[in-house]
Amino acid sequence: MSRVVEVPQQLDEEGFERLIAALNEATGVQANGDTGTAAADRDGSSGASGEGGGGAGAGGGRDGGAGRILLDARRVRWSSPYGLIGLLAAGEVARRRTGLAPAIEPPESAEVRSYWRRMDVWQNATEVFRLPAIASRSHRDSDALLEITPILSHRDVHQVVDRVRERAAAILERRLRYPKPSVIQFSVMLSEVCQNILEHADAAGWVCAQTYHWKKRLGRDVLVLAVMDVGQGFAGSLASEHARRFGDRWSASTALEAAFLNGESRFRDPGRGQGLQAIRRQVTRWNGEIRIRSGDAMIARVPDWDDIPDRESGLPEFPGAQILIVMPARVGEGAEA
Amino acid sequence: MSDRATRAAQVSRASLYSHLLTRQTGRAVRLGIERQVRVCTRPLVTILDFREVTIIDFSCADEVVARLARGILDDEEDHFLLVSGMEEYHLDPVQSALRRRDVVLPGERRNGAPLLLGEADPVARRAWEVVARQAGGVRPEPLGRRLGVEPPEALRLLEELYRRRLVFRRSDLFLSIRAAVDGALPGEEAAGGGRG
Repeated sequence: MSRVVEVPQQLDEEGFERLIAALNEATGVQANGDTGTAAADRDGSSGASGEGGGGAGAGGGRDGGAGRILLDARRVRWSSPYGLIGLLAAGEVARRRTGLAPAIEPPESAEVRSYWRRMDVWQNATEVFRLPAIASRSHRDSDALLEITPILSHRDVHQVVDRVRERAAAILERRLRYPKPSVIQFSVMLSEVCQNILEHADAAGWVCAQTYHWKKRLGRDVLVLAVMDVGQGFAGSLASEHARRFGDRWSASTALEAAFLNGESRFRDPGRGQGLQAIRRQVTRWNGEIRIRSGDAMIARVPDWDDIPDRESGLPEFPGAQILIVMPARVGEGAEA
Repeated sequence: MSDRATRAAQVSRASLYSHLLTRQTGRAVRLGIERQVRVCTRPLVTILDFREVTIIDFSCADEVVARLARGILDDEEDHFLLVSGMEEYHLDPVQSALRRRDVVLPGERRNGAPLLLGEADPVARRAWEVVARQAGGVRPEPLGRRLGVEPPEALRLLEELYRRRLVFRRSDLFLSIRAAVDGALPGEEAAGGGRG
């Protein structure tokens, strides 16, 4: 028996929140996340290995007898990089919680299907969902800055940066009108966000980037970079070094503040923790936006062109860390980005 | 620091890879440099040559520059560092890494212009710049006149720069690491002539 989780029509940041909430409901996760499920979410230790028998394992908190999750994406009309890798993340979490690789119904819209194909959704989805293997494809015809790419090793980070440099130069300089040095700065930022997965998540993750024209929201082109993992999250990563200091106040929210605002790291080494700070500084210089979601909390650097809160807690519980960076096109000579 | 440092120093040049990305790469490069310099005699100047580096991230900068320097400064005497070939796009990662580890290093841009890397108080920074721009070295009294301080205070500033291995010293003459590397240590006549 499958439980159907409907994928929102608009698969963006808000759509991802609705997807998580629906997934949590389908897999029996409490609003505050119960301990058993948290353990399964963190490391799949409850024995999720793709296929297998029924659901409930020793870990508890899993969707015991409900069987496979089916993500119904038929009604999707639009998806952002964040939404696309969010879909993969949701699938991975569904797999861990149920012990069964989830199924997925593809979008009905030909345009959306074509976009998903160009962004390598299906190549990556075969690792998460119950799907036949799909041959890798050439990216020559792609208009994406960076198709969905898994980050499993430091070699992947090198390859990602090498792969985007030419495209990044074209997009940043010609389309977004950033100065030449921004190409290197962007590549450095890309390297650092991808390394966060390797250094802190203890789990695989994905990265993806695309440019759009945000007609209503901003009236300009933007570059959207999304990085996600379903690992231990900021609270899990920083707990051993920092939780005691905070006592009862230790939470995903305090962990995000510690890392994002104060440059704290899971490591005692004073040289650690500067990557995220550097990203925040650079995004601020570009008058861009950066949001980091982890556990049930979110923290953001909010530019003057957006009105989201700079902090939120009490969100639907979800493992790992989800990072969104938006770089708007620059307008006018020497004007703010 | 021993007086050996004021005599001719061996020079070890570490030419860095073009792509310095990820902490793992940085660690490998740092360990390679540490192995390379272990067999060199002291006094030693290790030059970190950035001329071929087209990109460096913060994690790599921490390993290759800041952590390497911290180890040398904490554990060794008579070992100096010079960061050369710097471009603008190297500065943010390197400066950030040095600040986090409380390290200050002598550097130079690609065109040879001297550049003090890391966080230093303004007076020390000014004193260093005077020394760095004077190929033949600087003595306390002329430095004092330049900075508007008394000679004893100028000497204290210079000795502090020497203690932090930001300059070389030969008796009462202080000179830049670059000058020492280029063999610009003046002969006895020049040293006795009171230039500076």
